[in-house]
Amino acid sequence: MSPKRKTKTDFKIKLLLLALAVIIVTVMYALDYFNIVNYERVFSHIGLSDANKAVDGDFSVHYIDVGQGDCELIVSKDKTVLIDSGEYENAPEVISYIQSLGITKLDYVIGTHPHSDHIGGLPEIIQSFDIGKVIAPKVSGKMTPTTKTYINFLNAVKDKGLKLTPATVGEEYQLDENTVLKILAPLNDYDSLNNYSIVCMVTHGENKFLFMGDAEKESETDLLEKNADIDADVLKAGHHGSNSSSTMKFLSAVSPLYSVVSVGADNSYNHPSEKAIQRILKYSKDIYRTDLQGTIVCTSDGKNISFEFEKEG
Amino acid sequence: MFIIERFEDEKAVLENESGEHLVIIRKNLPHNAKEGDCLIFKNGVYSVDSVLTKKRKEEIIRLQDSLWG
Repeated sequence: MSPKRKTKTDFKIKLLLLALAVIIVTVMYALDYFNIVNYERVFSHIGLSDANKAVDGDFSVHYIDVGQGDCELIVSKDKTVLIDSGEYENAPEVISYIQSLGITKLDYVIGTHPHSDHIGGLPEIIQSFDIGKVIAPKVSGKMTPTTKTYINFLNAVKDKGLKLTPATVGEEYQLDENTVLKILAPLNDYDSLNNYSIVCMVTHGENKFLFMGDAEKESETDLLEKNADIDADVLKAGHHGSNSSSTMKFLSAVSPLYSVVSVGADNSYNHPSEKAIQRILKYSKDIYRTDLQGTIVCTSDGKNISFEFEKEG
Repeated sequence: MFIIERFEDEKAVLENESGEHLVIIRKNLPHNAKEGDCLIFKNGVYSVDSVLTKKRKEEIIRLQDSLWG
């Protein structure tokens, strides 16, 4: 083979490789652009993402597994917040979980809305801990619950000599010098208690955690209309991942890196909805579920977040 | 007596007098039944007891409103 000929062949191969590279990059870009492939997800699955490297932070969110219900514990350097409790039956396990962390005081107890799978366990929890403020939504007279569950909750607040703090949109609770909890909803009167859910954002440094309670599309729409600051790193999806929550427009505004669904295995309501899960996966690189992973603990150092799971689901 | 605790799509969660729950098909309730309504179950049929609902609601609102701080 003459030297001249070799150079020509080399050039042809290089040109071919270059063309191939351009095609591959274009195809990859197109797949990403049209949301067909989420590379962060792919990298995360093959272990190339550092998102789940344990973070040594002084802030944690515990999405406590209470079966079909909601219960989240926020532990900052100075203060603790409990959002919901699961059902009445869940109270003993929730109490021992909180005690196992060495916590004796709950500075803020938020009952997102008066349904049993959210506030059922609160009376026993209120009795068991030193309590700061109990925050609840102010529901219209027409929608005020008549259940024993709600009476028990009110009586527990009364018996402890506490008051009920109405959820006020825009109100901020400082949890430590780096952490604040802000109430974002309810923004309106509704004809369903789910939409009265207290929606709150907890910001720790650069990390943001959005808690939706059982808020559904009506509340999501109001949050969007009010231009509420809902952009978050971690979304506790509304209403156990039902199809009536987590609309595309809402998810697009939240753009959560991670989403958590609090849901019981084999529940009677077919939660979570496969449609809602697919919508969430368009925006989140991972979705964690208490029915699969058990209690989910998210730790943050104000910049990085990591997750730990009770079980590998 | 039952109380409508909540609706979950096509299902309704009822609370009985002991505070226990049962899940029924929503269409077995009167079509105008709302969350918080007290129900009477007679001869296999649920009907809304609006007098009891109103009385209970008023009592609970009184307790609730004494607690807002």
